[in-house]
Amino acid sequence: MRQMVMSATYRQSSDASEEKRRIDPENRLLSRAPSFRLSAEMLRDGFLAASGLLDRQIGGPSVNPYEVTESFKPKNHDSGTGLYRRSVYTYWKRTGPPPAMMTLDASKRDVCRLRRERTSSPLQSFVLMNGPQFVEAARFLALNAITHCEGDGKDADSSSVIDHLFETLAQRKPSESEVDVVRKLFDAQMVRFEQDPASAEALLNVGVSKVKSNIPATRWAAWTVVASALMNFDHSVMRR
Amino acid sequence: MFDHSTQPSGLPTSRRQWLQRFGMGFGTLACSDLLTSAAQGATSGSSIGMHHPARAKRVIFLFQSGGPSQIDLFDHKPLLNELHGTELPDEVRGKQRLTGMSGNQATLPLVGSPFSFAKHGEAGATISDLLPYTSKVADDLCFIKSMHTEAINHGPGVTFIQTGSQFPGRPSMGAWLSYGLGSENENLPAFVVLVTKNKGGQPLVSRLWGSGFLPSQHQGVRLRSGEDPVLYLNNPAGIDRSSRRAMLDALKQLHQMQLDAAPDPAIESRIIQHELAFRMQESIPEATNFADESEAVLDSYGPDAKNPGTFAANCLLARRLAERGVRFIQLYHQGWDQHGGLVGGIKTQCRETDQPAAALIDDLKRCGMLDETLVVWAGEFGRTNYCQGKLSGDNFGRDHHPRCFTIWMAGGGIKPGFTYGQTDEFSYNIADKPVHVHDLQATILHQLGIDHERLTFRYQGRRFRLTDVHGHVVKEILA
Repeated sequence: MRQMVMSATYRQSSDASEEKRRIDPENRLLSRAPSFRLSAEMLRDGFLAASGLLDRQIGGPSVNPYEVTESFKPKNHDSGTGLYRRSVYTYWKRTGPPPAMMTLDASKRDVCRLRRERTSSPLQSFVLMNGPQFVEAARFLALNAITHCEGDGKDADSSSVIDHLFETLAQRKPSESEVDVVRKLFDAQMVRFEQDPASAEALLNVGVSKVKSNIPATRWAAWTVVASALMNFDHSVMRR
Repeated sequence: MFDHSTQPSGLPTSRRQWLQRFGMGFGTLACSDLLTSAAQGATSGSSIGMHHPARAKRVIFLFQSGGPSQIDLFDHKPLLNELHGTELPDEVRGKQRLTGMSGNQATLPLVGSPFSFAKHGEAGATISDLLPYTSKVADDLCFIKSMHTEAINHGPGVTFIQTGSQFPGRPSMGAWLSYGLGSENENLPAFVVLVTKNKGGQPLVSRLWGSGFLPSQHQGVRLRSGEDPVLYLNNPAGIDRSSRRAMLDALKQLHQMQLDAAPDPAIESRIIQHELAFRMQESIPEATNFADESEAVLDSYGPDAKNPGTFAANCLLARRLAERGVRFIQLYHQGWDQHGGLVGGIKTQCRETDQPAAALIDDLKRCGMLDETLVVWAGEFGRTNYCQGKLSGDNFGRDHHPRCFTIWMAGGGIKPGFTYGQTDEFSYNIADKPVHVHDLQATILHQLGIDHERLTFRYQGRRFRLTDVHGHVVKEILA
């Protein structure tokens, strides 16, 4: 095992030049590390963990997260920790499986699947950008990032919040130009929410988890938009 | 199309290799077509056809779930009225297995249809008075009276007609077409499903429009009648369109930087999908909003047309989706499972479906789209000529019957005003020109320019197709 993981082949980057891709399109020659979109469960569990909402209890009965209300056979979602447990505990009805997980290529569990397809579709954008599970996670991820960077009680410097979000989601520091792009997004959203504070409140009301905070709603909402954008960034959804 | 890089000569050296290439070639073909059309944001015109010129560009499948009674709608059998109440002759039944519901009945008394039949249109199609509107468009329809299936219960029956297999796990017809032909409109899904709301009866399950082993982007997208026609289509509270645009622009810049550093088709695809989603947030509400339909058109579909989620509203929506290039539009209307109380039950069903289905044909014609849109009206099987339960006066029921049933098709290069095949005088067995479910599927694919033997996908070591190893195109019904 040690020999394997220390080999040059295993430690390759998943980045590949066009020439490499042309010569070895399916990576049969192991010319690079594999890269693929994370599974439905990994995405949901990962974002819940990043937001601090994940319930880490092991075992117990199935739970009903938000998406069961949208199933082909709808039922009510839970109101407590059932919303935040790992996806392996999600209630499964084979005639109407959880629709967000279906959109993200989870198996229906009606027949044996040797491997899951990994697709990319616009419907996945809807789930990750608009689904209450993920919007709520973005909300808490933003809150944690601001709180983390406000050790001295001052308004957090935006670049340190961006650093924190990048490190949490993409496991790396952002480049300068990346910070610029994200900061511009944050500034624009701040302006917008200050003009329309009601929509900031509305965004912060998505999901059932409420928490009291001294952070102004406009700032929290603007960072929520940033967090949501970064949750959809390639490095957050792909294994590279 | 083939990847020659590992085989410099480009020529397969063994039979096995050749087969592998051959098999994978088709998978790659279908996939690469899709990717290119998505990547270019272009529409993939299909008039050329995949294997031969296409007669139809799209399908609207009006699935009548539960098994409509052919005997009371289309397959008029005066002999049953004469023999009403007498036992189904053994020689007619032969070795046909019955369901557990009527199989242990002491008697199987024949039931004549209480409804009256007449010949309609110049072609003189026989239709019962339950379907006055369908009767008026009879000359546009092609009736197949000799359909038969292998399944005797709903689950396997519906699965069979949708996927070509009685067992779950195969792709639905719409998924095959999405895979094979892609979409005509990149701003809408290629395969859309509309289920009539508030109907009970035999349950539908979401795998019926699943993609099986095909990539999941080919699964049917069910449009719901509520606020969010597609799962989480709308932005969350507090996020408006310009805010979403700003978020996507930032995301696009981040992705572009990444692309500049290390090119990767997966990132390009992600950018495209986000942009497509943004456009769908406009194109889907635009398609589902009937505000621009005239009163005359709305009226033609009947009073339910303004009530979203009804069969009438779904038929009109189907026409709108067809106009916008959706490849396969699958409607489901439950409630045809009349084991008892048939007279009342079937009247309700016909009241809900007759006018909208006929209006759809007229409307497609009006828009000049009927010749390129294949409309199919079918259930999963037929119903027995004998009574299930006790026969008392007008109160009777009919059990499932796989050996014969009637469907109709219209448009898409199918012969209009035509009736194909016939059953015996009991509407129990097929007397002439049987059409199997796989034949129907082969014919539908044929009209879309696809050879049903050549649209395949390799999975678990073999190539699969919609018609498995069966199916013959019913050439006689082609215009």
